[in-house]
Amino acid sequence: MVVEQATRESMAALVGPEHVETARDADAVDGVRPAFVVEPANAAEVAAVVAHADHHGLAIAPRGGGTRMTWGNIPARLDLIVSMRRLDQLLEHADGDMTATVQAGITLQDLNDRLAERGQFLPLDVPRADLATIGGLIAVNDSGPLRLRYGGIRDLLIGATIVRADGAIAKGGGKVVKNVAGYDLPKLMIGALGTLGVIVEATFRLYPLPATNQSLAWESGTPEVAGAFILAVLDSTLVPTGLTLRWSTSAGSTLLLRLTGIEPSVLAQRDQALALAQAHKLGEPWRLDASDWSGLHAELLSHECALVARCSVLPSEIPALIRMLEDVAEQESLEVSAVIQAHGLGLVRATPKGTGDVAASLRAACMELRKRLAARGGTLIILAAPLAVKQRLDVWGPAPDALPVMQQIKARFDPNGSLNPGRFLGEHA
Amino acid sequence: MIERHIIPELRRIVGDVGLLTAPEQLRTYESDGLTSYRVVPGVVVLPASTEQVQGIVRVCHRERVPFVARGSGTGLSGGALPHAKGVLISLARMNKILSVDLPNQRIVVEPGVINAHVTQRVATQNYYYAPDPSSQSVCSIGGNVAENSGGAHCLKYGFTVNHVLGLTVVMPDGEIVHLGGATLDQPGYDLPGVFVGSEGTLGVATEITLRLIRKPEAVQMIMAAFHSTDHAGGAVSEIIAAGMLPAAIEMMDHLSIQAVEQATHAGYPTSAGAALLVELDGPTAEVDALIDRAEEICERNGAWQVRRAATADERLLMWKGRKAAFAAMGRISPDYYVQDGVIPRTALPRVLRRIDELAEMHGMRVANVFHAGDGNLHPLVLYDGDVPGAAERAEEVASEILTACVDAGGSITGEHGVGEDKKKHMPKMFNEADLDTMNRLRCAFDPNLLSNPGKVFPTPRLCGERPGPRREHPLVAAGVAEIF
Repeated sequence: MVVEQATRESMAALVGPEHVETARDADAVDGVRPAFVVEPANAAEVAAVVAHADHHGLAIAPRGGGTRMTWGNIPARLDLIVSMRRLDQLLEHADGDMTATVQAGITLQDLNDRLAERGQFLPLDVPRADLATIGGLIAVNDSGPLRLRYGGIRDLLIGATIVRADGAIAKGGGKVVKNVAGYDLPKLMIGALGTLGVIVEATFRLYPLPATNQSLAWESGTPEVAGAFILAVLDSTLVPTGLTLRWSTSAGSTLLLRLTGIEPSVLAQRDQALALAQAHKLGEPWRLDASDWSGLHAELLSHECALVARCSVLPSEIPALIRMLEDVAEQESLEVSAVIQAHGLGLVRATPKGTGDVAASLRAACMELRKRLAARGGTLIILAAPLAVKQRLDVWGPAPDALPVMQQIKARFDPNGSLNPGRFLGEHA
Repeated sequence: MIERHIIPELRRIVGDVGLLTAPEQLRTYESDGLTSYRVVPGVVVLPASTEQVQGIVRVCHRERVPFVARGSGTGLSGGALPHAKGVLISLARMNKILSVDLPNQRIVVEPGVINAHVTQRVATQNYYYAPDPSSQSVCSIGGNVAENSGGAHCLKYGFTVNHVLGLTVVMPDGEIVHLGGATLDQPGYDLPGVFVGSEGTLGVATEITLRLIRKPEAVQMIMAAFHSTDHAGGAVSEIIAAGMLPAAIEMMDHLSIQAVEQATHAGYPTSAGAALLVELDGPTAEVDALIDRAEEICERNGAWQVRRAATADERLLMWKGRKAAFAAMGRISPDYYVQDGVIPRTALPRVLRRIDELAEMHGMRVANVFHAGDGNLHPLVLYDGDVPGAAERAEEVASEILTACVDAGGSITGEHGVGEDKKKHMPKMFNEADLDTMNRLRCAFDPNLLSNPGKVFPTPRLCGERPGPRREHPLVAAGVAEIF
């Protein structure tokens, strides 16, 4: 308690007493409750807080909107949550250069609302955009259907400023789209779960908002039919901004296709897509609207559920993935649903039907899926699961042969292990 | 001179056919595309497999001998400049395409495969490989990976890093690791993301998984002639503001047009103050509508001639002129020094005026060829190497141009890399903390600093021991060195 009091006083001196709060239950990460939540106002305050914590052996978890705090393994230690809530500014929208520089704590929704005023957007469509912050999204590397056309965060992020564990403020990349000066440090932060530094600022390349869009959906019959249609679209001259397969054990599968751009192009592409669908005997299509897309993933993530995982497969393996999901659903008596993008990334949700050893059946399902995916070059990462599952299973799966390099990077960026200890790849207790 | 005793061991690994030791053979490797830097390597090896690369690097690691990997040697930053006491590893013999997976739009190649050969392999099936540096007919994929090469089409399609999914890498200690893979978002740090563009300082890539792109339904291109670069720049801004994302927008100034037309007869308007190439690709309905708008915009901004390529051949001829621009400078100047600065597109008129001022001030001619869509300038400072002091003056002008680019919020290099040539300019963009952080990454891969040492970083740096909690570097503790 003496240490806690001293920490509180030190933190209060750095960010002001009104920005240091005693942590509540809701601040716990996988049941590990920190002592404080600290809300610095700017990069310099973040640096001071992180340096102080690092020096005193305190474990830090950076936090944006807190929408994806279950991602990663159970923390080995956690003393301090550094909330980025107050770093919420759009610093520059250079619309003529199609770039924007933001503080890490701005929400995706807020950013895109502002960019839309000048006809541009950051093409990231992920659930809970109203809460999810840019820094958090970089750290977890989330993406949605738009990735098919615009790429992921690694294709959009062109510069970043981070606070290192020792409090040094360092930047990589820049504010121009084309730039190969020095190592690409921003890329290193993508998907790193805040283990190498706290992201405080980011610069993105932007795209013009499309003039019109049209979306179609079809009942898609067997996974093989759906898979063949997906490959046919990828092999065509269509340029969809979304091609998604929604599937569940109870409701079968639906294909969704989104076309955007200037109207004549969207209409011409729609006719081509309809012809392609007919050739694949997909049946009568129906029209979708924008909310059908934004609701896609939210549906999977928002419900109180047992397990959510991210799968990655080759596009040609999408039917095989569905068949695997069917098999484990049957074997382990699970209700399973999935949203799979044409580029091979999918979100899977599994809920036990029965009441037996729920954790055991979810673990068995994950292990079986991992084994079968690995044989086809695929991976499965657990994003949320009951503690009893996470305690016994590394959420990241088997480590790649490059793990020693990753551990060396971690050791050189964060030698005291202050940033999100225990949560990353290869750190499962 | 290299430690002679490792030569027999290298010979056992690569055989007689893969080992060059004669001085006249070594001299052909003394520079890359930037010939103002020359160092004769200690020895040259030409491995034929990942295992042979591993064998070579293990010897280097054990003996603490530096090594430099080299593709086709077309780089323009001295990135493949050899080390006098080191091993030069040419990947030219590793030139096989290992597998093609069209349904998944993937191709796996060895590093010595020529960029254009990737596209040639899949062209009849309507696919291509997007990054297209002007040297694409000779440059290698391994070199593209090292430099994160761009090209004219990266405005829409991105750079090498956006098209590399996975790599097999021989680490600087000889371990073989796999970074990324065929599927997206592999668990762990984005190591392909940092390896691509690391200029050979993090290891040697021996297998590379690339993304292929489906050919678009339609491609259209116009060439517009303007009185000045200001007018052409205005057209570029308006095209972007209209919400178009052309596949490429290229600009050439008067001097460049002269040189290119003399060399290629591509039909460039020789009396123009600036020429703009605008290429659009995508669905036919989109391209047809937007190319009309691009034409209108050019005319509204003062274009006095707009020509549309009527056929694919005509389009390729327009491109041939642009891609031959560097080589064509020989028609108007004995020597040139090319820079690769980047600026925010909107700063174009301001920076071009500054370049004119600098040229005038130093009594030099500067030709400008650039990727106008993404603000990547290629000022060519023309000089005569036979005139004493001219080369130095050219370099000084080029250096000041880079300062102007960075001052405008840009970068010292958009696609050529830092290498040997621009490392002294790194502090213009990055402070000590930035460089120290980059060095930490370097040291995680290569703690003995053997892989292409002396490049990228402006000053030599230490790595220190494998870090544990709070351990001071022995040299620092002894007061011999400071922590950067």
